[in-house]
Amino acid sequence: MESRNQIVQPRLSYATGYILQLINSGVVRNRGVEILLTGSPVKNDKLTWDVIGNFTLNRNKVTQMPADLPEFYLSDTWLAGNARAGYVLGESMMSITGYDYQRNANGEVIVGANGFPLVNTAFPFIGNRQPKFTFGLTNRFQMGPLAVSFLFDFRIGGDVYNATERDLVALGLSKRTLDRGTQIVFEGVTQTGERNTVPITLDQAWYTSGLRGLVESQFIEKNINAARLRDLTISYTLPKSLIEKTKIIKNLAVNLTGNNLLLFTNYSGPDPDVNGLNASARGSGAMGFDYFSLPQTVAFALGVRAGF
Amino acid sequence: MKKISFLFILLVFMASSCKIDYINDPFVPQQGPPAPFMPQVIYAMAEGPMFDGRFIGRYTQNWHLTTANDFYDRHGSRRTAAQTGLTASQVWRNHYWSIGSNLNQIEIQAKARNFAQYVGIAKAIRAWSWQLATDQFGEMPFYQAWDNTLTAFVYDPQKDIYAGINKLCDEAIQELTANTGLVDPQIRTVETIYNGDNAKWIKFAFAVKARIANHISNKRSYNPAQVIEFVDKALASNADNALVRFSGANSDQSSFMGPTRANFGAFRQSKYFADLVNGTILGATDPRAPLLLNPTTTTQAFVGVEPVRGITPTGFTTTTMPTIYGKYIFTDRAPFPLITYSEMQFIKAEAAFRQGNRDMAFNAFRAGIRAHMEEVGVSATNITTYLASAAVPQSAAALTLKDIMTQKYIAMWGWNYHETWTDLRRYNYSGDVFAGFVLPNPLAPENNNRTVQRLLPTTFSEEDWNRPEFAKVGGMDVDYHVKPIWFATSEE
Repeated sequence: MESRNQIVQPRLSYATGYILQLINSGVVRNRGVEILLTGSPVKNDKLTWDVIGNFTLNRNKVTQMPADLPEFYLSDTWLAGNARAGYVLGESMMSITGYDYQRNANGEVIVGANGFPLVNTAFPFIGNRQPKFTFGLTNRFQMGPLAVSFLFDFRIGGDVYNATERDLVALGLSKRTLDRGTQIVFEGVTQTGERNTVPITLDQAWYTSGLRGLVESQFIEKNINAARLRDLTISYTLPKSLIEKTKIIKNLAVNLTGNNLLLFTNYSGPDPDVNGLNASARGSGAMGFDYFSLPQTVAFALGVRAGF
Repeated sequence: MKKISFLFILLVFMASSCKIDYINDPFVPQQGPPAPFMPQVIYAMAEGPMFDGRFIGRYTQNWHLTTANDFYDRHGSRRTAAQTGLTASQVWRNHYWSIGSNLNQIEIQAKARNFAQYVGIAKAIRAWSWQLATDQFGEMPFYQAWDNTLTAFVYDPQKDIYAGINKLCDEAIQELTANTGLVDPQIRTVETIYNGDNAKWIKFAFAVKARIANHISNKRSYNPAQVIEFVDKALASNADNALVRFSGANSDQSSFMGPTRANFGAFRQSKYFADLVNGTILGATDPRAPLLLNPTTTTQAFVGVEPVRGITPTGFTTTTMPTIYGKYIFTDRAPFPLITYSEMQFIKAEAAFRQGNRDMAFNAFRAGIRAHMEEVGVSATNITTYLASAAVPQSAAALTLKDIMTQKYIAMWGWNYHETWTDLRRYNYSGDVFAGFVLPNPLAPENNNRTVQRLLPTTFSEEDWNRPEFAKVGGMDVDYHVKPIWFATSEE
């Protein structure tokens, strides 16, 4: 399915008379599938077990740039360092563009004569925030008056820009700076194609320079997976014999809900499912931009339901 | 185990597209009378040149940073200085946005209310803004400007822009002379340059015509008689000077050039200018020196910084060589001039000199010096003494082009570096025309020994979002800033 004339807000030339402009432009091709499965593996007088599974997969691709611009980015997402939600022709709408080390055709880093890698400041594609797929699984058990249900969310793949880590490195608070002061020879090739042999020191200048140790592509965490216990609810319906004596209340149930109780992830920050901005940001927004973003909160709720 | 049942729902993706509609919210009005648009326009008319003057003033050697090896001192561009954003391109932003877009609204709203005066003033301001901008940037999107249905903007030749400026001035003069329509009683308070005085705005429009007619002095089509004709219809005394005023009441209402806004702390006046007024170059001390500059705390002398070398070789420090704050336009309250009578007289002197009319040139030359001296507060006695001194020629026969352009440089110093830069580019930064002027050494490496001719437009605007068109005029070249600018060439 093709989406034409997306609402986008580029800055455009000031010759428009304005700084920002809303236009309808660009073509994005979306291909995806969403599958909902429900089932009841066990269903008898004592126990009912319901299962609901929800699988989502989406692949999208920018097939025509807005206004045929050579480069397009959502300026609001340029919130930490030189990485932003950029659209690149032929890549996902959830791309990240930013500074990267210069690379040759084989993908090897190109190192200058001084031993430091050269930096590509033309905002190349450095990551895709779109997960490969997501899967939600709800299980519900009913045993007489007691019901237990819980939802697990799984996310497989997709990159996260850990700008928090980048700031911590600059401040010397990250574990990445433990090797500070050591000498290394950067893995890469010189501009003439020979192996680099010039040693450099990972000193303060390295860890505080946006063109050295803070190059944004080094803070893109690739293929982030997560399993999250999104919510767990236990409810208990009190026996009618107990309630009927009151003559007022016909039935009474208590329930306890906990949100985000467990999170298993290979992401180094607190939570990979964050948004550096809020929902009002346009386009693909700043999902997957972690810049001191708060993780999803753990919450408990206790409820009483009464019928009269 | 009981039976297991599954339900399948397959959803193929869908997406939608929407057309944008304007929001008609009564609490956020989209339209209004012309008056509230005017103060922003007038402020932006001063803000652009004041912001960019920090950079142009280094090309023209009005002032320099106290640190050594500055890229702008060396005729580099924003790109060679590895800077981005709005640096040295505020005029671009203001021309299209703060000034241009607001003028569009003023014209639309004024026409709807039959306030013809606004239309005339708006055209005069727009003509001035094009002149300022194209002299700074060269080729610009002209024919397609303010067409917000477009996403790419073609650059037009400066020749076309100059023709457009002339046309806008003529339309402004026609509109203001006809003086039809209703008068908005608010215009006197919101239009703070001339308080809605049509006669002065007509002079302003003629002043812009005089400027651009004189800028093409290297072309065969240069017509000095026409320049003189325009000057004679332009500003006739210091009372006609176009000034943007500041109350100085707080930071928001203080001049960008003053100490509260604190933009010139790292600068000192140039050695070149100090030498022009302290007698080193012209042989007589200028009574304007103590009115324009602060003397050093230790020697009470008027000294300045050389380009590229910084403050160290002068023997002074940032403490012993004071800033330029407190004098002339470098206070919180001082008005910022856009065009003055003095400038017009120097334009007339140059045109008359080129025409061969020595007497007219000599009179205009002396009128230019006198007007500037009166403007800065030199006493009548001191004016007479200076005009009789060795610094200025004593007869029409002794007058040279060098005298005219050097005295013009002094009178334009501090505020009219845009025109000074135009003069320097027309005369190839020559020390034969500007007494004692020496080009910095070395120039920026990208220059290949060529002098700077233009500044780069805003990165956000042109490099990021209009790159293909900008590249067509050479904008992405590392030496775009030395590309010849049309007005200064002999090309018709």
